[in-house]
Amino acid sequence: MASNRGDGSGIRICCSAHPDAALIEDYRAGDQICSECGLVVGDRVIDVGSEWRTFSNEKANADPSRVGGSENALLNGTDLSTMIGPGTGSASFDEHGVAKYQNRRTMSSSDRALVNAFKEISNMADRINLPRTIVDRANNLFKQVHDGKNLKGRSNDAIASACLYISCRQEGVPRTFKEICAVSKISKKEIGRCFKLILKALETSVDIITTADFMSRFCSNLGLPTMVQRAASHIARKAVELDIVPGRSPISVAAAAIYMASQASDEKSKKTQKEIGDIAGVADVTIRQSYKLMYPRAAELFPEDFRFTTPIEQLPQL
Amino acid sequence: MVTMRLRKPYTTASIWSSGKVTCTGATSEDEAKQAARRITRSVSKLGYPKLRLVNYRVVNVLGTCTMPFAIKITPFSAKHRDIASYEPELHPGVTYRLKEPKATLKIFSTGSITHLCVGNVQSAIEHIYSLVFEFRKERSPEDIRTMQATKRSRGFKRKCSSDFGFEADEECITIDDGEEEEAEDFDSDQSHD
Repeated sequence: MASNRGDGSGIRICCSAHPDAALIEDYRAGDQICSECGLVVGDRVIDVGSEWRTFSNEKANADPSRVGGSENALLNGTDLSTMIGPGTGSASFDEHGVAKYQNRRTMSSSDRALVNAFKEISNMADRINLPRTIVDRANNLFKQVHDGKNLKGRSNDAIASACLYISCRQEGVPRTFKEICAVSKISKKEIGRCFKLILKALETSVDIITTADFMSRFCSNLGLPTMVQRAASHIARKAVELDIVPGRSPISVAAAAIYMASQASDEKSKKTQKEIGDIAGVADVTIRQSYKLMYPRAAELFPEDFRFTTPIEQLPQL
Repeated sequence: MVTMRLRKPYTTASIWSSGKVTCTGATSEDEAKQAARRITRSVSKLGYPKLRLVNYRVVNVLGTCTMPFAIKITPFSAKHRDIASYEPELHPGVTYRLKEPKATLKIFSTGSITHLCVGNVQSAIEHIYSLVFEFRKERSPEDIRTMQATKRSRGFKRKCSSDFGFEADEECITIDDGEEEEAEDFDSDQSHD
């Protein structure tokens, strides 16, 4: 029979005949068996295996080994209440076709703002095809801001948009404020204000944007070949290094570089300032300004191995 | 809230019904005090005979200055990441917040700097000058030539050197509606308005 051995590390069940033998645990039957003589020592060990058999079924959305839905536990706190779902079948509707049990009782009133904000962030990110990692990071930021409570008066949508902007920056793939504005109903000014407030509240900082961050996105949206894209990246980088364009926003410099590179290529890659301005969110006069600063030193800006379909002298001189 | 503009020290005053007044636009501290007194006087003429100027204090002094060199703001903001904030999409200047002369400075790539602080503007500039100096942009010979060309066309006589221009702008006063008999020397004030 089982005997208790009280040594310094607490009470341990062991076989009476072989106190030093290791016990083999059999979870399915709930036993602990002595390895030497086969005596069943422990009993009523709770089986933590799954309660029903599961078969892999690619089509089923529900995971049969789960009991409830997956929790967003990190962000919502423990929320174990039950929600009564919308009815199915005819019994859940009374005579006028109105659902009988109408109200899904509001469960997480304190976190309802959080849930709404997460949904909003997810919607916004979906519109510009942001990956899940950015959305998760934005959710984390929002949760931190929400707990800190110093931005309490601001609209939650504004804070959500600013969190999305910051998380894109932090992941190394910044989006311009205008791009975030396009998927949000908050003005650029308000997003900018919230952005600064959040940085102060969370005491973080972000890296400065560079022209290279936006090149690939703008160029692919314009449908430019990789040669032109590489040339444009080189031009923009060189322009910033030589400090030809002091005080100009990196977006404008990038747009002007794309213009210069596309104009130096063949006909079907030539883009007008207006098209580039549309994609980048800069006014075409802004592109013109930066281009005017860059044009005098165009020869130094182009990469050495660039094949000029339109030589430098024939570049437009707006 | 009523906005009142004066002509002589060219100032603008926002007057609230609680009696608080904010007076901005004066070019020196003395002018600001003079403007405050003028406003008090004109309000007292409206039917508040024993009006007093109470709690006058200078809240903000806005100054602008230009460095004789251009500034490379991107490396500057990279070095002072914790104090300076540079968002090219939002504003073309670096916002630098100082603690000990409590000041906010905006530094632009052209070399001009605006600062907003309480009291000692000079010390803020001296502090920032040493920081900005290492990020100055040296003038290349062709830059010097173009600058001299524009100077000749404008007819300047002095050399291009640092000009520190000051404009003390914003100040705050409180006018109290009092029943006290003791009144400040309002009447001795010049009252041209």
